[in-house]
Amino acid sequence: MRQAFQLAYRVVGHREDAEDMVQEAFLAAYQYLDSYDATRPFGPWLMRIVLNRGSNLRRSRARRETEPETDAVSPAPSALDESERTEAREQLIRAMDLLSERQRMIVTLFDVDGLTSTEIGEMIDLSPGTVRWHLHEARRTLRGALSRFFKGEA
Amino acid sequence: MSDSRSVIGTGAFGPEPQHDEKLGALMRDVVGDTPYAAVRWSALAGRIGERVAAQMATPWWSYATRWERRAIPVALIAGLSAAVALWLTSVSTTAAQPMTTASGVTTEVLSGIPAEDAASQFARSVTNTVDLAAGVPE
Repeated sequence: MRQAFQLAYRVVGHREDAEDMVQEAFLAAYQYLDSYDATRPFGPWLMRIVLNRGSNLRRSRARRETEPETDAVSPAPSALDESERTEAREQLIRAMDLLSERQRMIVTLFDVDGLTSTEIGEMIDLSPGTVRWHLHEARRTLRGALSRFFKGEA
Repeated sequence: MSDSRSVIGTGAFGPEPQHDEKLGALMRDVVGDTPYAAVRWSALAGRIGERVAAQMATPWWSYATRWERRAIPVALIAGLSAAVALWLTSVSTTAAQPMTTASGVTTEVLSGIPAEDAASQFARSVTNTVDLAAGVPE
């Protein structure tokens, strides 16, 4: 259930919506259990339902303008001062809007949640290679938009 | 290969890329960590269990109740239409095919119509309703 919630949260970005999504996904899984192929693993099938529900929810609801709810604020070591950080944050939000929903989810699951490409692939029914390709594209877009903050690394 | 390229990754065919700490930190500021601790897992599991149990307890015919509100007026309209159609059909049939009966012929003869005319009208009436080709019992 934690994995379903994690995916749901990364799709909708709001805890209560993510909980609703998980609930709806489990209920839908029960309703459509007849269509489940028992020779295949259950997890990815459930995750696909979560993703479908999430996409529908995202489309049907206006994005809630709330601050992210976190377990603990854990800023990673950064050389950026506060004003640079604010500016980088704004640019990052704009850059993330350029990504497809799938790329945004993959880069978040990989770089924020620390999952591997294999784990993400199992979760959203993609091969690890495809996940790595989406990750590569997403990072290229984000780092391109934030190039001045990553100057020292280029 | 530069440092930034190794952080970005090499795409589908390369090895597993490393986690990008710097980008991850910036993204965490925007999207936050997954709030596992804020979720009341047992309550969530309970809600899911309740809804699945309710689903299991729902009899199949309960789905028909969704259609009741629409089905009743449709059935009423269909019933009324059928009644009107049947009435119109019976009226037109009665008008188109007046049936001459034996007692009717007797009445006509008694009222002064020649017996031959009445008999031939009666015969015509009978042969219109009987298939002579199928044979008439002797």
